[in-house]
Amino acid sequence: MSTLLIEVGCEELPYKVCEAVVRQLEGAEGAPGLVEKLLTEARLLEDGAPAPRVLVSPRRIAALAEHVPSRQTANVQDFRGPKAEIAYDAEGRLTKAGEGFARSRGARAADVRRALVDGTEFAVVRVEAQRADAATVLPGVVAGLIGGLQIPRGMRWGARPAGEEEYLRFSRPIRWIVCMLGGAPVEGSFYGLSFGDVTQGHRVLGAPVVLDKAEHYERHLEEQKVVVSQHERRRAIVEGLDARAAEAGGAWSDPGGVLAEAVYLAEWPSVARGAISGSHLRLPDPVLVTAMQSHQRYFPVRDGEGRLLPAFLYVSNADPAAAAVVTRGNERVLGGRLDDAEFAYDRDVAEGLDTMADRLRDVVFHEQLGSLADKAVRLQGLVAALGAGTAPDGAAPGGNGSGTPREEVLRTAARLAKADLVSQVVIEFPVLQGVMGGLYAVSGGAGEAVARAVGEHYWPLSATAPLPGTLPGALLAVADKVDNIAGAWVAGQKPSGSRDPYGLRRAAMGIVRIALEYALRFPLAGLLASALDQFEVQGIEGLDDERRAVIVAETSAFVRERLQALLLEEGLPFASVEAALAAPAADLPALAARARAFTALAGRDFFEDAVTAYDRCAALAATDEAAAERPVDPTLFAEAAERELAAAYEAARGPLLEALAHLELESALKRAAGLRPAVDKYFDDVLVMDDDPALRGNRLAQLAAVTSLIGRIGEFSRLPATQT
Amino acid sequence: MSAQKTLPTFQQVIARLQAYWEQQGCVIVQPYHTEVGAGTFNPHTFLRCLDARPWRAAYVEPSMRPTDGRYGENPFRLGHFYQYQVVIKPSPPDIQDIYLQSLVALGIDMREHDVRFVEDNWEGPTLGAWGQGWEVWVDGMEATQFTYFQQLGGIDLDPITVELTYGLERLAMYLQGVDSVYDLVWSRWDEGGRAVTVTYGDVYRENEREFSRYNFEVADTELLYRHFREHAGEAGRCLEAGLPLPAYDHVLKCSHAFNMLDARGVISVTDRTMHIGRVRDLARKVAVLYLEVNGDGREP
Repeated sequence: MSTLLIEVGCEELPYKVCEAVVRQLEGAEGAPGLVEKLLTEARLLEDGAPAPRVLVSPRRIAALAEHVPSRQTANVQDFRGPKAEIAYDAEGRLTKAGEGFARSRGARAADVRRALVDGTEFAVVRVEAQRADAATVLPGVVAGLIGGLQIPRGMRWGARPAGEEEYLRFSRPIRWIVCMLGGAPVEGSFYGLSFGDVTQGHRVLGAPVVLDKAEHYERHLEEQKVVVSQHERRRAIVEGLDARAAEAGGAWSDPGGVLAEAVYLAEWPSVARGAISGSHLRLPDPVLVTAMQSHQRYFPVRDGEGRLLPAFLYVSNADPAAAAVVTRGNERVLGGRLDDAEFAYDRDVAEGLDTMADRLRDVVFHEQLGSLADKAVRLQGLVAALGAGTAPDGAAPGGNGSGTPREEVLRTAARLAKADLVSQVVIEFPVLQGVMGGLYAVSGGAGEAVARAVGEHYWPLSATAPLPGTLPGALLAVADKVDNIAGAWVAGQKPSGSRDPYGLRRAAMGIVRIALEYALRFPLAGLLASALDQFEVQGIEGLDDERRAVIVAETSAFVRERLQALLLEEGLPFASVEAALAAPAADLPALAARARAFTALAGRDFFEDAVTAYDRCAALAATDEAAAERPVDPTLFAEAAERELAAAYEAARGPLLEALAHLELESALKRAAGLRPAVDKYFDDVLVMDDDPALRGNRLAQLAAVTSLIGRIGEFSRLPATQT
Repeated sequence: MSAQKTLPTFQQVIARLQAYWEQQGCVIVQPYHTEVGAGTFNPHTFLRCLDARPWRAAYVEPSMRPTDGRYGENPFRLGHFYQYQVVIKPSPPDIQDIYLQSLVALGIDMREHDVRFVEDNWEGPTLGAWGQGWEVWVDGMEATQFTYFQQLGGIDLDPITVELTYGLERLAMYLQGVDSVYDLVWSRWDEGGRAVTVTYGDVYRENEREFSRYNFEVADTELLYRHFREHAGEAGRCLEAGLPLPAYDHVLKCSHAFNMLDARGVISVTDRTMHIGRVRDLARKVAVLYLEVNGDGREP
C-alpha cells in the first residue's frame, strides 16, 4: 500500500476553472468524484480507503490517494454460458458451442463447469481478471483524469506533437505531469509530455524540486513557497485579512465576492495593507468600493460605524518581505483609478442628472424598441398606471418618505431612472448603474424619495437580493421589469431554454417578489397589457389585437412560472401550488395566498368538506360543457334538496367572494365547506341524470354554478383525491 | 537625484525591449504605415500567424483609439499610444519564463515585486479573432496582455501563436514612478553642461488636444462614411485581383474609418453590427486568400 500522487502542472488557471476542477475531482456526498471513480475502475482503490484528496492551486491540479495497492485488486467474476444441453454432448464433453464460450471469456475448456441457475443447468466459468501492476495502469488513470474534466472554453497551444491527430484542449497549457506511487516515479506520458518526479515551486520564490515520496508532496512544495491546499490558502488569506484589518482599526468587507478568486490567484498568499489618500475619500462610498473590488480585487476596510477607512487590503503572491515596494505599486494603481473616478464623478455632478436624461435620446435601448429616452417615456406611462391602481401612501411598507405627491415622485423618478447610463462613472463602472443615478438625484436636488426610487429600480439584483425599500422604488422596479419582458416579446426575442440574454427570468422573479412583499394587487394581464399600450403609443408596429392577446397570455404565463418556482422553493407541495395557480385569480398576491393557505389548511375538516363538495359537483358538471353557461331555473326544481342547495348557494356566494377579495382564505373555505351538507343531501335525493332533458340540464347547471363558485378559491381537482 | 538618472527613459524602455526580443530570435520589424487600433492589426501579426511556418517578430505599434482620447486632460487615457508587440509561432513551452525575463531586462527585480498572471481572454470582433490568456500584473498594474491566439480571420490556427502586448506608456510610468503619462521622461541629453529633458507631454500633449477635438467634434462624418464604403469596395476589388496584401490595407482603412465614426458618436447599434460585420467579412476573405496565395506552409 502506498500513497499515489498525480500532479498536472499548468500555466495559471482561471479561478472558476480551479473551482470547477475541485468540484469534479472531489465529487459530492453520495457521488464519488472523478479521482475515486477512475481509481475504482482501475481497481486501484482498496475497500474502505479514505477518499482521495484534491489539491488545486493556480499552477497545478493534484490528487493524493492513500492505500493504493502496487497491484490491481482481485476481481473474480462468474459468467453464465449456454444451457448445459447445448454446451455438452452426450458423453459430457464440451461441444463447439461450449468451447467457444470458454474462449470468449478467455478461459480454458477445463475451467468450464455446470451450475444450476433458477432450476436450469448452464455452463458457467469463473474468471479471475489479471492483476496488473499499478504502474502499468496508472498512465490510463492520468489520461482519464485530464480527459475526464469538463472544462468550459478549452484552448490549444504550441504545435501538435508528432503523431497526434488532434490538439489537446485544456483551460490553459499543461507543462508537466508528476505521477508517483510511494517513492517510485511511474513511467508514462500523455500527449507528448513524459511523467516525472519533478514539480515546480513558486514561479519566483521557489525552485523545481525532485519529490522523494508522494506523501511528502505538500511539504516539499511548502519549502518551495507553494501552499497547494486551497483550504490552507483560504484560511491564510482570511487570517491575514482579519489581522491587517484589525491593525487598520476596522473590519474587512467583500461585497463583490473577490475572496473566492483570491484563493486561486496566489500560490504563496500574504495579505498587506495599502493606504488611500484622504482626498479620495470624498468620493461616494460605492464608487470607492467598486474601484477597489472590480478589476483590482482589493478589500475595503470599514470602522465600527461602517464608514470606509482610508485603507485597502490586497492579497499578494510575492515575498512578504517585499511588501513595502509591492504596496507602493498597488497604491499608485488604485490612486490612478480613483483619480480617474474623481475626474468622471466631478464631470457627472457638474452635468447633472437632468441633462443626462436629455442625452438618452441618442442612446439606443434596443434597435426595434427605440432609444433610452423612449424607454423613459414608457416607464412614466407605466408607473402612472401602476400608481393609480395601488393603495394610497402608507398602506404599503416603505411609504414615500416625503411630502411630494406620489404621482409626481413616480413621474420624476421614471424620467431620471436611466439617465445615469450616460454618466462617466457608470460608463467606467457599469455595476454602479442605478446607484449613481440615486446619488446624482440627491446632489441635483431631486429629493430623497425620487433618489431612492431611482437608486432601487434595478432591485432585486438576484433571486435572494434585497427588494426596493420604498413604494415608489418598488413600483418603478416593477415597471422597468415589465417593460423589459414585454419589450422582448414585442421584439421577437423571448427567452427560450437556457437562452435568456436579457435576464428576463430574473426580472420576472423580481416582479413576483416585489408584488408579494408590497401586496401589489394589480391584475397581471392588465399590467402586461398596459406595458404593450406604451409600445403602441410609441408607434411600434404589428401589435394587432391577435398578437397583443398572444403576448399578454405568454408573458403572464412567464411571470406565473416564476411565482410557481418561488412557491415550490418555499417548500409548498406541488399539488397545492397547482390548485392555487389554476384558480381564476388575477393578481400575484392572491395566487400566492391560495397556495400558502391550501398547504396550511389541508387536512382540516372544513378544507376537506370544501374540496369534497367541489369534487362531487365538478365530476358531473364536467360532463356537460355548456352547463356553466345556462342560468339555473328555480321553476324546474322538483326535489326539496334542489331548493336547499340553491338557498345554501345564495347564502354562501356573497360572503365567500367578499372573503376571497380580502384574501381571507380560511373564511372563504369555511363558506364553501358550509355547502357540503346540502351537496351531500342533493346527491342522496336527486337523480341528476334524469331522463327529462330539461330537468337534467337544469340540475347540471346548478352543479356547475356550485363548482364555479368554489372553483374561485382554487382548482381543487388538481389536489390528490381525498376520502369521501 | 542620481537614482533618478538610472530610471529608464521612454526611449530606453523601447530600446531594452528591442534588444531583449532580438536576442530571442525575433525579427525586429517596424510599425505599419496605416492607422491601426492595436499591434494585432499589423500584417506581421494578423497575416503571418495564419500559416504553419515558424514566425517570431517584435515591433512598436502606434495604436489609434479615437474614443479613448481625453483632450490631453486625463493622466492615463490617450487616443494615440504605443504598444510593444511580440508574436511567436508556435508558442514555446517556456514562453512564460521567457516573457518574465523581459521584465528583468527592463530592470524589474522579480523577487522584489508581485508578478501575476490574471485570466483575461481577448476578442477582436472586427478581425474575427479571439484568444485566451492573461493580463500580467506587476504590483497590481497591468503590464502586458498575454494571449494564445485561437482564431484569426475566423480560421482555426495551427500551430498556435502567442502574442505579448506591452502597454509602453503604462510600463514606463511604472518604471519611472510618475503619475501622469505627460510627465514621462522620453529622453534627456546634455546641452553644453545643462541637462535637457523632453517629456511625453512635450512630444504628444498638443497631439492629444487637437486630435481629441478633431475626432470627437470636427471630423466630417459623411467623408468617413464614404471612405468606409470606398475602401470596402476597393478591398473587394483587390480580393478579386488575387492581391491579399493591398486588400488588407483597405480593410485597415475601413476599420479606422469605423473607429472615427464611433468617436463622432454617430454609429447606432444596428450600424455598429453592420459595419463590424462588413470589416470582419473582408478580413476573413483576406485571410483565406492570403493562405491561397502563400500556401499554408505545411509539408505536403
